[in-house]
Amino acid sequence: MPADPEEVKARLAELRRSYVEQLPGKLREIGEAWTRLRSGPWSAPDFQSFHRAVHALAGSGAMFGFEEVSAKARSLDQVLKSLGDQAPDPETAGLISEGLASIREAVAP
Amino acid sequence: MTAPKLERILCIEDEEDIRKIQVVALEGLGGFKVLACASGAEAIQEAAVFAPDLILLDVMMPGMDGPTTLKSLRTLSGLEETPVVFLTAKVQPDEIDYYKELGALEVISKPFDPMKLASQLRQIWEFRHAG
Repeated sequence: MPADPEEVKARLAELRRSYVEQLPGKLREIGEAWTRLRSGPWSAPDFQSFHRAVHALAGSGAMFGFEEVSAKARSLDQVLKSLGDQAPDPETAGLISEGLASIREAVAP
Repeated sequence: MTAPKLERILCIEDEEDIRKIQVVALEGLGGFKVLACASGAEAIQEAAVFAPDLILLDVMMPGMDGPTTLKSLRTLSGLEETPVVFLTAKVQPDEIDYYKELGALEVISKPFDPMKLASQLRQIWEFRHAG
């Protein structure tokens, strides 16, 4: 049986609160994953995991009202998609770092 | 003739935060029984037993994407004709036609309004059974 819409709104608001709380940690993990990828030998599985996290951020950001975060993550997602599983050249690596910085800026108050 | 009742919805979505929204919205506002799966592979394991009336399927998923998942679901007994609604980001009109050619009954774009999702699916269901 359907619940009271106000109750559903409250549960959705709770999901959003939880997302907002977790967002800085998610960004930190994504940034650390990129640092590891850049500094160590290239790992396709680690890159796929990093790419998935950026893709997820694009989708979830939009759902929770972080349009700018979502748009910047989606742009970065496109760059990552263009790589397949290959290591980026220095110019593309720079673009990825810039993309991550722009996402962090969009989250910062 | 009245449409059969829409009761059971299988959601296939790789993003955990979006899965949670779908479950809250569809159980809460639609009163549906919802099974949420994190991947196409998980859905293929669970779908036949759950026997959904309708499937809400994310297009862009790592590993097995939405269209590939749909092909596999269609081989399962009882799911040959289960209506499927694709969920995808920033969909263009020509992409909607493409997804419908692949077998989607309808396409809902992300981000969706959680407060409207249940009624959107109910409308799609009723429209299908009206014709």
